[in-house]
Amino acid sequence: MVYKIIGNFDDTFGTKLEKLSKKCICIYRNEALFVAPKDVQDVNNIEDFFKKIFKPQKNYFITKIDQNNIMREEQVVRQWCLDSFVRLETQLYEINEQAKLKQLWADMDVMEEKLQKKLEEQQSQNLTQTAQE
Amino acid sequence: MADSPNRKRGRPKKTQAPVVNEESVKVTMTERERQQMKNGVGDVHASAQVSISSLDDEKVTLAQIKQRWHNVFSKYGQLNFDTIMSAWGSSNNMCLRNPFVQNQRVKQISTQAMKTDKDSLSNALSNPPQHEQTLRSVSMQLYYTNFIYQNLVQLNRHTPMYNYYYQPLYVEDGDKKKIKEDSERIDKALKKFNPKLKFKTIATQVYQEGKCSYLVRLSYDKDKVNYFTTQKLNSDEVKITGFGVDQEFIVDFNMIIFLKAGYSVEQYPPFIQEAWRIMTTSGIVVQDKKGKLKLNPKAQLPSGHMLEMIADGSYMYWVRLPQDICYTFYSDGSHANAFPDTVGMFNDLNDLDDYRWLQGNLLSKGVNSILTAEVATTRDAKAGSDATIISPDTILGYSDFFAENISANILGFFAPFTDFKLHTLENQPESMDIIYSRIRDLIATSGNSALLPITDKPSIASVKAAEAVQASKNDYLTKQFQSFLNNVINNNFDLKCDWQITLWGDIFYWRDDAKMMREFVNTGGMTGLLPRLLSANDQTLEDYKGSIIYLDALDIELDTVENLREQILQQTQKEVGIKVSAPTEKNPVGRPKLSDTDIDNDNTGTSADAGNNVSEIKMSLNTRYSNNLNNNTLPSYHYCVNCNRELNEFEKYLCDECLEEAYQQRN
Repeated sequence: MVYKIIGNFDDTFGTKLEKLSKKCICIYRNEALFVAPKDVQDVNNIEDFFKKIFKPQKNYFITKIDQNNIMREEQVVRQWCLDSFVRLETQLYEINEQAKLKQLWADMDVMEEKLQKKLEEQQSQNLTQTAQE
Repeated sequence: MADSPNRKRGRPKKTQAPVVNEESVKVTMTERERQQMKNGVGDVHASAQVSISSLDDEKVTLAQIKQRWHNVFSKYGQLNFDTIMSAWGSSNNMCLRNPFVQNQRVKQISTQAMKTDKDSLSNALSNPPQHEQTLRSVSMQLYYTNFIYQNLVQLNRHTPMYNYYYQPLYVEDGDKKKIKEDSERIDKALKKFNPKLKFKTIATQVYQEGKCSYLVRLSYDKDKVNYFTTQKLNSDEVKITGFGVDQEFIVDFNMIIFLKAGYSVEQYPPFIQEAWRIMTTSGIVVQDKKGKLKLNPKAQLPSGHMLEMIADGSYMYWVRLPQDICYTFYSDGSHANAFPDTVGMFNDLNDLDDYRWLQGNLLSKGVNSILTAEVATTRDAKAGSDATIISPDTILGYSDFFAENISANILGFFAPFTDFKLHTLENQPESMDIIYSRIRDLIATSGNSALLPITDKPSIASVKAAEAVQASKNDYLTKQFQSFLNNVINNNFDLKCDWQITLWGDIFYWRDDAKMMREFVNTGGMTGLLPRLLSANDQTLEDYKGSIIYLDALDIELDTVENLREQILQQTQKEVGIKVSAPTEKNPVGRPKLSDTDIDNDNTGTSADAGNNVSEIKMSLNTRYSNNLNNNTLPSYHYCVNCNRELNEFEKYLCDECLEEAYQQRN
């Protein structure tokens, strides 16, 4: 989820870059700005974010870099894009794994409560039997 | 774009890219999110929205989970394993990642197999409609453990071929474009569905349980069919509740299944998900304090839903499934009972074990002869005393010696009696035949003794009759499958025309049908039957079109058979110098020999087995032919091999007079 932005980078470029850097990582190469989100959770609404920053929209041309057009870029840019892809995918994987483990932990809490109850019932039954004998 | 006064010309200065702030951001879960996670509310994907935090207590690792399980088993070790696992199963109402739970879930699509004693089985058979589940359980048990029963059920799977083809209905010349678009989509859908494999599986399930219900699962885009398959509903969670217009039976589904461990409503199609959503939002399914879901029997039910309480106090919640979503296939549609057709054999199949026991006993005690002898008594033998000249212990010793050294089928008996004889037990049942005879009788009872012979070779007439009956029996289910495909394909894939999909073929007669199609298409000019002919070779018209283009793309050309034959004959003519003409199939000599599948008469079959079905004319011809070769003359197709008269264009090898004479001699 890397984007290439070509457009009218005028005096306001610095301001735009400051706003971008809150959520994104960028490099500027060959008169094009390459942008990748920092957090994988921002991927879904990153395009709206760009629309707010890069105004008027007609002055800017935003395209997505994917496996079909990455080879058109130079080596440095290509490597940076691939590193960004890997970083985002790793984040997503870690999020999903962590969610599964946390769910598992929560389930074990519930299970231990039930087992504790069953253990107490069994112990009280044993005590009753011993008392009757 | 007009230049503004403040806008500078030229390329902006290259600025160094800002340093990326890679410092990790610490995010903590809110208390609400933590509680939700603990109670198991919400799905896994929702919980993934929480940002990850690095290197703090909120992160859970595999090592921690492992250590916790270790602690659980240590602390609660005095409770047995089943108790721990059932607590685990009920603590997580999804259990979607537990392979043991999921394995149990998928096994429940068929009724659980259960061996029943004779009394329970007799009780069930005395009132079958009230014991559907018991009878299905017995059927599954026999399917797993009794190879004969399995063979009988699987015969219904092996017989039909499910060759398929499709063609448009009620179309005109102007519809060609629509037909072309639809044809490709239908071809993709059917290839995704794979009717030959899918229907065989469904047929096996139907004959195991009598009636089975399936949900349709499909998804397609403009140019692609993502998936098209069926999902079986658990037989024990389905109830037949009506008769439909588009299909024979309408069923209700028990939604309580989603309160069991391992089940998730996301595994089912949107209709069921919507029904579940209605149940959860209208208070029918509620959460207790621990977050576990349970049924609220006092809630108001929406229309089409029904709550049933059963004897043990648990509930079943029935939702009617629409006819276009759920299809029910049956082995016998004359009644609405959900048990297999083979219930009449259950008693006999269960008794097979008794016959094995009997056979085993007889094998272990194979006594068929008794040798008797007398032990002499003393001169002054008195009644009431042991007056034998050999003591009883010695007699026993001799008996043991005899038993050890003589074959086990002869029993030695020594006693001071008179009038001894050797008795050989005739008419002793051959123990090895007991189980064999019983199996043969069972197969005969099922009506499949011609198709599953374990005796002498059955007669051809009986085999043919059995084949026809079996093919007709399986065609009953094939027609249901055909109706299913026509309904689903025509109503769900945005087709522009009406299409008819046809399923045909069985292992006994499909070759005859294909041969007939070939003649209709080749010589009869009925090219409209080409789709059916191609389907005999597992091809559709799209496949045929594709293979023609494929050959063209690779620049492969094939001469026709006639052209090749003509080339060979011309070449031969040049080398040999004799005019030859190609033998045709239109005037073969004599009556052609029948292939084995065409023989339907016992006498013809006997003749074929004995090798007497070769005509004497041919034998005579072969003899004369070989004589010609021995005389170093080349084969000539223009002169009668008998009288050497020149043949006309309709005669081959023999002139008409010689041919007639030979037939008269033979007859």
